[in-house]
Amino acid sequence: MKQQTSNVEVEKVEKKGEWKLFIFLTVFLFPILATVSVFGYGFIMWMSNILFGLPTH
Amino acid sequence: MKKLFSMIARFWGVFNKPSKHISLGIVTCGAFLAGIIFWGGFNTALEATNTEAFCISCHSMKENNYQEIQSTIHWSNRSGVRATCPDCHVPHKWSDKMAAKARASKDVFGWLLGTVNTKEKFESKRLHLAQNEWARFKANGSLECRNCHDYKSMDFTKMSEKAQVQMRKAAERDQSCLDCHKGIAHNLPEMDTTAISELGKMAKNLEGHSFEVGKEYYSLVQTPLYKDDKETEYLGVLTPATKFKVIGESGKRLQVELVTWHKAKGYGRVLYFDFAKNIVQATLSKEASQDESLFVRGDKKEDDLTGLPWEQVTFTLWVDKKGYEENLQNIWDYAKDAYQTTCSVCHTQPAEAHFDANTWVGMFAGMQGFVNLDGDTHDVILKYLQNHSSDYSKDAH
Repeated sequence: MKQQTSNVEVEKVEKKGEWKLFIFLTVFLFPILATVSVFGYGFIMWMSNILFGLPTH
Repeated sequence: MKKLFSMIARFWGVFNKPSKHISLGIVTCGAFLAGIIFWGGFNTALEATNTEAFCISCHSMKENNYQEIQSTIHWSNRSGVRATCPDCHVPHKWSDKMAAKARASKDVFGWLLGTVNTKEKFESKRLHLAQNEWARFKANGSLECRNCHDYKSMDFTKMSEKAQVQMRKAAERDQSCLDCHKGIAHNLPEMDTTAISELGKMAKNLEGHSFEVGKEYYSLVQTPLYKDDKETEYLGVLTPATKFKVIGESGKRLQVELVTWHKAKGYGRVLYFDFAKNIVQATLSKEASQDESLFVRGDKKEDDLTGLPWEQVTFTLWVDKKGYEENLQNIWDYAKDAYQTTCSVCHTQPAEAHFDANTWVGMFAGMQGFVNLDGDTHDVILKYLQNHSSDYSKDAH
């Protein structure tokens, strides 16, 4: 009986951890990473324009 | 720190395993929805930075560039189409657009540090800023202009004759708009600081040389004229490349003799190089032009074309001892060079002897709006053209 309740406790903590990570990833980390990588891409384009010349038509 | 590592380690443990409690459906749906919201939000934010309201939220943009465009045709016109900041300054192609946005982050630093937060600071950076944009337009063939203006859609017959000649040629060569049309939406920077210092420099280099009485010299820059060796008030101004003969000297001044022509009607305030030729040597104040003690009258002739009487006059005036050129050819060499470099930006310049001296005045006036010449260079180029026009050239048309 005691063994069972502790299993339920562990499961509860695990579930909470999964939800926390899910929210953290979808709401914060991945959007921030996406924005940073787009800016990084722009930055690389900018630097390459300086090195290899501005875009032509 | 330790706590943070253990947290990351714990998250990694969860991240790296299949979820036990959240179903696959919820994970994919949640991620999908978050993706949609993010993408929408990202684009909205990107669009927001692409509006004029955003551009002019910064003080220096609002007070300078934004004010300047309001007097141009790109702000208000008969067709009611208006160019906003991003229309000209942000590329449409996605990767170039991102590069532009990243580059603009530098402007944010400028704003934080107050790099151009006063009129003076902005003016001192104007040339640099303009050159950045000019380089961009040069490289992409003025692509942002051509999003609206297209050579293929131009009806050349609706243009003035003068415009037609230039535009047809430009279309043939698929020329970049800004090759000629600089400074059409914002003020032009003071560009020819190099040119002004060129004539100024020539004068400076010659300063301190001694002058020989009885010898002829030429002015290099606009030179004030005085009544005697002490008076500080100007009687008038000599234009560059004007010949005078030194007939005396006193202290810091030279007494000079100026042989010129004026119209013997009205006050005759403008002094010309030759009979009936609109080549300006000097302009005088009303008082000076009427002061008979300053000049001696010579020949009088009537110009058949205008019916105006002209009179040769020899003025005796004073100038400061500054740098003057003995060899006129040195001035013409500079003027020729300036003429060729400035005018050839847009078109092949006509031969000097293609027009007569009086026609050049109008031709030159019609063109000077496209360039930003300082006063001395402007005067000296016009005079060079007039002095080498069909009136004076041996191999005239």
